[in-house]
Amino acid sequence: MYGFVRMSCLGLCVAVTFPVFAAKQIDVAKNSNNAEIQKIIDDASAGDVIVFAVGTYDVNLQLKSSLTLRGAEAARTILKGVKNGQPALLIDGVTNVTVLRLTVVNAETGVTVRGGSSDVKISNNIFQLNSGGTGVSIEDSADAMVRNNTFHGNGTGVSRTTGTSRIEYNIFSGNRRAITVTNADGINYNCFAGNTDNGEAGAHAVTSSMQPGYANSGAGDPELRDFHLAENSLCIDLAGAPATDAIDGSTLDAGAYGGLDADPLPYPVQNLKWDVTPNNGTYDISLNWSANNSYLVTRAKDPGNYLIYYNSDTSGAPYANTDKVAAPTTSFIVHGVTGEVAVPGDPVISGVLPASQELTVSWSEVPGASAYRLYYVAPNVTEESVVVDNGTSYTLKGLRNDVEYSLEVAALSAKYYYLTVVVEASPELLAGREVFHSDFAQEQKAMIGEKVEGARSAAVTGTPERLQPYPQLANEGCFIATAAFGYYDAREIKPLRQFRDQYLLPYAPGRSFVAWYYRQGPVAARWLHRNAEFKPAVRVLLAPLIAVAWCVVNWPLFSLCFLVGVAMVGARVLPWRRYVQGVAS
Amino acid sequence: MKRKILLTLLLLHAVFPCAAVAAQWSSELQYGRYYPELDQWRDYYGRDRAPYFGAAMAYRWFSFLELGVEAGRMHDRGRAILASNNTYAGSVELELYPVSAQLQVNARFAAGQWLVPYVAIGATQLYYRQIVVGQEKASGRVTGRLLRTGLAFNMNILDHRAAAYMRSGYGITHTFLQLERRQLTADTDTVALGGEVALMSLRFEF
Repeated sequence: MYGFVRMSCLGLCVAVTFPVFAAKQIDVAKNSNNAEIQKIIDDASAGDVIVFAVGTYDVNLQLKSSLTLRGAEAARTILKGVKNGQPALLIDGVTNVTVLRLTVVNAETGVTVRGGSSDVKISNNIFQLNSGGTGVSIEDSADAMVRNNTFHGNGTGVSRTTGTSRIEYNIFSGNRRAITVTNADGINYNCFAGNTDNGEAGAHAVTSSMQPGYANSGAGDPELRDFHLAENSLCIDLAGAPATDAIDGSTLDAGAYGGLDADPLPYPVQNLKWDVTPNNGTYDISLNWSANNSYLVTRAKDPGNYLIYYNSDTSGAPYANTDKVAAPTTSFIVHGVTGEVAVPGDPVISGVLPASQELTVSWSEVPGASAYRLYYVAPNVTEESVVVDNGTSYTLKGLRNDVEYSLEVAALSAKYYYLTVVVEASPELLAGREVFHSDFAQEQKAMIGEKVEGARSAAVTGTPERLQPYPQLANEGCFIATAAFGYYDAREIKPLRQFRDQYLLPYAPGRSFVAWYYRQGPVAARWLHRNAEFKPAVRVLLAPLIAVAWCVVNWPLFSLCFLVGVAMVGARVLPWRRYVQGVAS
Repeated sequence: MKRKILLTLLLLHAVFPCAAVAAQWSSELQYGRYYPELDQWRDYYGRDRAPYFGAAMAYRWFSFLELGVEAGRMHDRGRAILASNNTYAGSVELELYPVSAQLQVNARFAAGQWLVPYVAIGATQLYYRQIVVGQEKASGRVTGRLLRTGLAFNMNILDHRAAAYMRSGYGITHTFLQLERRQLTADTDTVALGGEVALMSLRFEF
């Protein structure tokens, strides 16, 4: 009886406490900021796995004990360090921490391990911090493990100042110095390729002065970095390595895509493009994309595949149609699609809001319409139109004030296909295992045939008009020039105004002239407004004045020299002409 | 007119020789609120006032009489209307720059007087600029007049050590905090651009 009670109590305790200590997965949402992620870490329980969604995160995070940080996809889960003297990830005085399948960029240090931290595993990550950065810095830890990472383009790949932490199965490429340590203990089976200085290479190293052969090292666009190994890479199947790969079950590969914790997903297709061509009453959609150069896909025997998914009229998964081409083919044609689409109904203009030189037109939505065409025309002006792809409202700008515009709207509809491509790893590599597919490529929207336009709405009129400010103040600008050129701020009038301010108003005679002009100018300006046909002639007459004013304002010294020169030449020429005329007579 | 003013000043100087002062120059930094005379201002600009900044300089013949100039700036942003349907639309900026010459009389009877009432009259040239987004600017000027009344608190009596430091370090003999109300009248043919200004200013006498 005593034993039964004792066991019952024990069972009850286990039942009560188990949920409290049960490890769980915590997802970090895309676009989370540093504070939000740090709070997730601080609130996590022992044994929790924190999984980052594919995306880029600006971080300076401090980890705590008994946690795993994991990226959803090594190549596309990017931790971007903020350069403030702190590492992207700080492991300080903690135990049992794993950092897995992440890409770390832009930090001064990717991961710092210090404070006697123990049981730390940094595995299957990519570090690309540029020439000033250090990928992993082990400052104080006896048993950290840096395994199956790719260090590319860093100042220092791994720095170990104390202890004998293990550094194994990594790829070091394009680093100024691969490994900086005080002794060679624990450094095994690393692949060194194209580093300025390998540092301490340790035992069983594979070395080369060439790059190791990546699918895409990101030289063209760092955002497209794909450190999967290409066929014939020197870092595939490290000779004698006492371990295997999760991906193909063969001898272990070095780098982020080798070992038992490797991310098995191929990198998604990039640069997916489309073209539509008519073909005997139907249409063909041609697709092409950049090749995935990972050996998972490009193996000569039994290569991987590209799966083509497409829908008509509906965006996103699930896709109704699927086709397949084997690598290395990177193109596909969807044959015989039709562009037939129903003629859309006619919309109704629901409002016209005038403003200065603008009209905002709103109309009713038409089912099935993919866009609208807004027509506008004014008396003595050719009709124009604009296609509105989004929404049922549009603001026409640059219109003439006080002119009545006639407005009509017609709905447009078209047939669209939505297409994407997925990479499927080689079935041979995956024999007996799960088939690995990449994420979808960026979906493409292909329009088939021409847009079909429905009937126009009933016409509605609108008149843009000048805004009336309060109070309504008179403008004392250059009256005649303003009247001739149409508005006060015309570029041509500015030199005259500057000349007035700089050379007339400071002096009494100039002020007298300006005062006289301000009395007479409005009269002339009103006459010019009434007789608009003379405006071009006035503009021509003003042109030399404007040119002289511009020169005097902008090149005063040159203008002075020029005027003096003209005066001197005039002084010399005039007597000579008189003399010639005297002789002739 | 100039002769009359000159003769008046000479006469004052003869009658009040004791009122002549060593400190002859003064400057002011002004901040306040401009309450336009226009009755629909609030409808267009959202409130019945606009911020005003100014600076002034004056020369004193006597402790109670000085001649000065000042310039200020008022700026506000509001809306315009579409006349056809009387709706507000668009954006308008209005800037006013009053530049004034003025004669100020201070009720000052002793050097250490802590409260000095004053009144001033002056002539103003009010420059304006109005910007309607998408349309041409309107700018011009209008002549007006100015009436100022206020109280100046002598801050020297609050802290003699600071006052001594200001005198020895910067040559400032007196510092006043002024509270003032002024009436600015400046009318175009159709628009009264003036208004009342409630001001607080710091006045430094050299």
